[in-house]
Amino acid sequence: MRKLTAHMARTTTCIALLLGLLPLRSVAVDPDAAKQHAFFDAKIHPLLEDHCYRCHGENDRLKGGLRLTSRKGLLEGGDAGPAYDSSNPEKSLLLQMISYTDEHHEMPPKGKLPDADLAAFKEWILLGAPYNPAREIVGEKHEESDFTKVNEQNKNYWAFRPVKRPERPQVKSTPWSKTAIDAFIFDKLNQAGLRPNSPASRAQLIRRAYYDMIGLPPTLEEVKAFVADESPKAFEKVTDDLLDRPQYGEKWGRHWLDLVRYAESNGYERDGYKPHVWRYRDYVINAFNQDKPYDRFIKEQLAGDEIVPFSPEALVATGYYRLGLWDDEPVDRAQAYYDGLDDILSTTSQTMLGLTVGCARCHDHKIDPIPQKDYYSMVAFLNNIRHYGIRGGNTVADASIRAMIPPNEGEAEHHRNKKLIEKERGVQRVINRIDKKARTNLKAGERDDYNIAESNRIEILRKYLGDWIKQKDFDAYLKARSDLKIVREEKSKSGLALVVTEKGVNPPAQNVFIRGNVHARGDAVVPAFLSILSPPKAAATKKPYGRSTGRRTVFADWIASKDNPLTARVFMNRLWQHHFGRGIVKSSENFGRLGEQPTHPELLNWLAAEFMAGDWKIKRMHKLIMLSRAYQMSSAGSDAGLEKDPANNLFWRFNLRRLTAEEIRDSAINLTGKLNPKMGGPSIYTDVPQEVRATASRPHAAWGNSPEAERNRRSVYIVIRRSLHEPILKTFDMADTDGHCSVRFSSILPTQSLTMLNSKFFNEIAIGFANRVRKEAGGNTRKQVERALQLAFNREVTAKEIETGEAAFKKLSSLASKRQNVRAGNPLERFCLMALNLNEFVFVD
Amino acid sequence: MNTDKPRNTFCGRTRREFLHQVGGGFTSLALTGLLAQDRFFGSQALAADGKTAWESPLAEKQPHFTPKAKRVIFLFMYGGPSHMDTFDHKPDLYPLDGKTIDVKTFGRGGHKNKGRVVGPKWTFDHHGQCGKKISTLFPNVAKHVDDICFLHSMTADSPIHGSALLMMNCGSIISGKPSIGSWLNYGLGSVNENLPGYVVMLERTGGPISGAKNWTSGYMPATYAGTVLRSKGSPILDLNHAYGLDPKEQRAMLDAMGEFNQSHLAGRAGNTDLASRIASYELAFKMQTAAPEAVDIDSEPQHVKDLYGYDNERTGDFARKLIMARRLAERGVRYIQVYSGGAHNDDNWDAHGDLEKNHSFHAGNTDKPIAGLLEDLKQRGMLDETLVVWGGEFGRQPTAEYARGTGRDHNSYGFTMWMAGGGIKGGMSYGNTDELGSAAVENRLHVKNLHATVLHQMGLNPNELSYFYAGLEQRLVGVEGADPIKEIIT
Repeated sequence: MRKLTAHMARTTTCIALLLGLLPLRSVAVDPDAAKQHAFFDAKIHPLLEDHCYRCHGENDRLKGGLRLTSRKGLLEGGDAGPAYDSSNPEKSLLLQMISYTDEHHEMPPKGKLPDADLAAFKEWILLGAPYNPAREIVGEKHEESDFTKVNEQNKNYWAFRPVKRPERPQVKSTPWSKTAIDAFIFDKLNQAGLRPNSPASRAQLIRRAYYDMIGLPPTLEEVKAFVADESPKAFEKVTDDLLDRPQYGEKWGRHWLDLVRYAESNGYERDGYKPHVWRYRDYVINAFNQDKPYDRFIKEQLAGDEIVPFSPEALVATGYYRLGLWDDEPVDRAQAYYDGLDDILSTTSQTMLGLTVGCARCHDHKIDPIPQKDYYSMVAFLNNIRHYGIRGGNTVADASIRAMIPPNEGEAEHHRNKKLIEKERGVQRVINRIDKKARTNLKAGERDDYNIAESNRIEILRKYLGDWIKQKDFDAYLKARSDLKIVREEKSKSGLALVVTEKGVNPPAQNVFIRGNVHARGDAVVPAFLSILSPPKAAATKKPYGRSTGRRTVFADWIASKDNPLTARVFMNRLWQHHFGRGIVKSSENFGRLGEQPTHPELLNWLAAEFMAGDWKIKRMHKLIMLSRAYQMSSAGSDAGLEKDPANNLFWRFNLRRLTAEEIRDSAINLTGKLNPKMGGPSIYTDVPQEVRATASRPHAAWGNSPEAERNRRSVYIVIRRSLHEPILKTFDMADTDGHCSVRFSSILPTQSLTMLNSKFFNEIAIGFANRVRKEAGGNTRKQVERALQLAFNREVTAKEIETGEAAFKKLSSLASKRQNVRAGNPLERFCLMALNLNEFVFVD
Repeated sequence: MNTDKPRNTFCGRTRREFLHQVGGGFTSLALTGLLAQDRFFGSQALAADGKTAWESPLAEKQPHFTPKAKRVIFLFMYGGPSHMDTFDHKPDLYPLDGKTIDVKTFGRGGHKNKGRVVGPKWTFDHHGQCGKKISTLFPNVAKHVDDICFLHSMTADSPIHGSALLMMNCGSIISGKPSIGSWLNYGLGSVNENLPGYVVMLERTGGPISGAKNWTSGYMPATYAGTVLRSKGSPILDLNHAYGLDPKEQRAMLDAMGEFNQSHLAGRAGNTDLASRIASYELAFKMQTAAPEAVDIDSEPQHVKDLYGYDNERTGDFARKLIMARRLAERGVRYIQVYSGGAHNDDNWDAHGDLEKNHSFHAGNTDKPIAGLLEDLKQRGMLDETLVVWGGEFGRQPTAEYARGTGRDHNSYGFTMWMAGGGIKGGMSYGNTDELGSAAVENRLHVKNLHATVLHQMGLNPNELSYFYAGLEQRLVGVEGADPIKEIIT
């Protein structure tokens, strides 16, 4: 049943519970009682002290909620229930625990007690478990934090209140009263006695806008055109143009992929590739490009299969459920299934609701008003989902891969696919029969090799031809393998996708799991939303479709509802974060009490209200933000600002930022003029150094290699393997892929400098960059220097900068001629390497 | 020893603030003023003049209390060495060889209640003053038993390589947590900013299953991840220029960069990242000299090389790595992990088929170098401050995996690890498995206790060292906490 030691996957104690301990004075005089007290003192108390009190007695580390220092504690018990059963003392949980008869039931954890001690405990329990009050210590029950109760007061917490559009403040500045955003920003600055910065230069502004919106810099021609455009609509034109570019989806889609911990392999021992997962990445990119309303975007990912049957797009969106870790060889399958659901629910709640609902898996949330019951009520929407697979390729195909059916072909296509699926099953049966035989006969390493890769199997079988495999079976196997390939190709003509599937139309029951342990069932729950948000009652189900219950639709509809106080706020905060460098709530995954409080709550409310009023259209909100004065401010320092608000909490200036990993790599390739704009499709492999491949357990199979043109595609298309992250992206703080990532780190480290100066990648870039400069600027050094700096800085360069560059060039030239034992690298290549290492290349104002 | 530091005031701030301010992707604005006074991660801050020395985020930090150990060398026997054939003597097991008995096991082959006993394949002799019995697989390590504390009652949550490796390195069978070396560097920083604070050395055949997940920094910044150090060629990735760069040319480039970067900095007061990045190039330049020097085995005298079995074909590779480990330890690297065994199957200690062949090979490759390391550390007076840990992700079963052969399946119910130096009692054995070696029965230990002990010896309270992520103060030992093994600490 339950194990109260450390086996819990994700338990959630957050803070110390400081309890006062008060010894109670004995008043007993009854002689029987005195005998019992003596027994307790002599036999039981020493055992409790030696073996139990460390975890079930002390103030700040009470495990399993159980306190054994008093009879009251024993009777009340802990999370697993009362430790003493008065109606049937022999069945008391305490005796079960110390008997070591059940693997999940072993106390004390250090080892089974000697028989004499077990007998003493039994005798004591049968006596009625008397304590000597003189030795009893009754801990004060910990007064729960006021914030954890679901009550009117907590429902009034700012993030849980319904979104209401606030009045925009009246400000005494003409330029800062034109847009609502500016009025909110200026008002706060004004109250603090600060002035907002003046506008950024035109060249700075357009570079900022390009990086923010498409993750790439403008060309020099685009900068010049904007600098020269005197129309008051000049920046609006730039904004509109950027929003229309397909690279917009590549940039903003990537932000979403961080949130949902998008990766293309499962992690763990085999770290197997997730088939067709890239379609989900393309779905996200396209959704941003099409300006899909955000509510629709959420619903398709959570329940697209139910909401729009037969839509390939909506089906692909449900790949959302398949992005996480999957251990194909878990210690405990039942627990692993719920670890998977927890991963989905935690990711969903952090991504879409800005709450750490996952903290309530093992007990009520310690800080926010999220009871454990609410957690499992939400799990009940999801517990009909089939696990990613059981083990190996076929089980994954069965549970998680479906053909996409074009909408216009509908039922007919569905029928055709069904036939193919039946055929596939027949072929698969032949294969399974022989695989089973092989697994029985093969040993150790060879069996592993057989299991791990389908490509090994025919060769291994051939070795044992005439031994335990007959020629007839071997031929049948060869034919089945080739048939399988054909039928799969046939199936994939309509395309295959990684999707969610369910177990059937009858929803299974769900219980609270005590301390998160799937083997310890508590009260039954039904699907319901977070009670603190005063949600409507969840409809039992929508009309079931095919093999699913329709519960996910109910779940999706609630999250994407205008009445949900969090959804719009959380997304608008993310939009702000990626424009301004940080969210209005800095902890953009946590709007609860452990998160940061908003610096501009009214502004956030205004944005959320405006977002919903505009039917959840995202591009419109980008434009509103970008056309504000706040967005167009300079990033320069000011004495007053630096003194009064060094952290820029009030946004008196724009935040300068380092480029992201993808921006650095893409901009570097862009310098060579060879960035391949091709969009979508299966992911690509870059040229990963041998040293990095050698760290994998299968160095030769760790990473592939794509042709140069493919390698020159944007970083969002690089394969994401959980056990081997692309080294350049990893160096510059790509999101870790095992969990949700709302805010990336932005580190500055010497190892990054080594990478940019020394790696093969950046040196090849330098060569390509130099070739381009030579082509565009000709043989004149001054012209070459000018052109290289223009390309690196995305602006016209000054005469002084050219002079500095020329001097450096000359120095490099003279050193090159004296160089020893070093491969030839011409001074222009060195100069270009230097240019792409400059701060101005890596930072955006 | 004072372990009563108030909670949530580690280094003056909560982890929550740390994450949201420094990890918040907006270091430049957050750092000035606000953080400069904070030693912990004022590390990345400096005055906007660009002149003030830059401190790495790994700059040394104060421990919770005076540590016994200054660094850890973790010898990871990947694949799972058999305890009853190495350090856990089970005399009752020999006569049972070939007999089928009732015994509960759980390994790659699933749960079983019966099995054919494989009698231990090596004999055990008494060694040292403590008289500890050690198998003939480790004749050289056996000479050091008086410095070693054996932990015979280890248990882990998984008997499957993938999750068990994560458990031993990162404290959880669920992927995504930072590894122990990351926790140490996060908690203590590095004393030598010219070298990584956490290095990993792998076998030539490949890394362990899950590769980099075993030295990941998980949800912490990549700064705290392990750096893979190669024992031949350029030790660190990209330490040397891909095509060769004359140091004079590099200097000229850095000087020119300095000029451009200073004028770029001029109009951007209060943006500390810019100055940090300027400084990071100078530090990288220093690393290029410091790292090769740190791993320069050739400068070691012959008698030291001999100690480790450097010139022997079998032991040379592991010897080289352990000499490097000692040199790195001397230069302030906090956590050094060296793998014995890589890739798959018999390339590591995973003896499913022929136990004798497998263990003779891996023990034979490592026994002499490990003994050499202990001896060398002792001679230099470093053993007291260097915690050496030996073990795999689990042990092995007393029974055979297959109908024929001597191979043993995985066993996480009970196995042996050992520690030496770093304030750990020598000549001691702690805990016991049953008479078959199938499960720990006395003074049972969990991997978390081992982790708690390592942190404790390094001066960190395992139940205090936390990092805020996903709404929780996360810890290496889990939110429920775990105690160090007090009985084995000097």
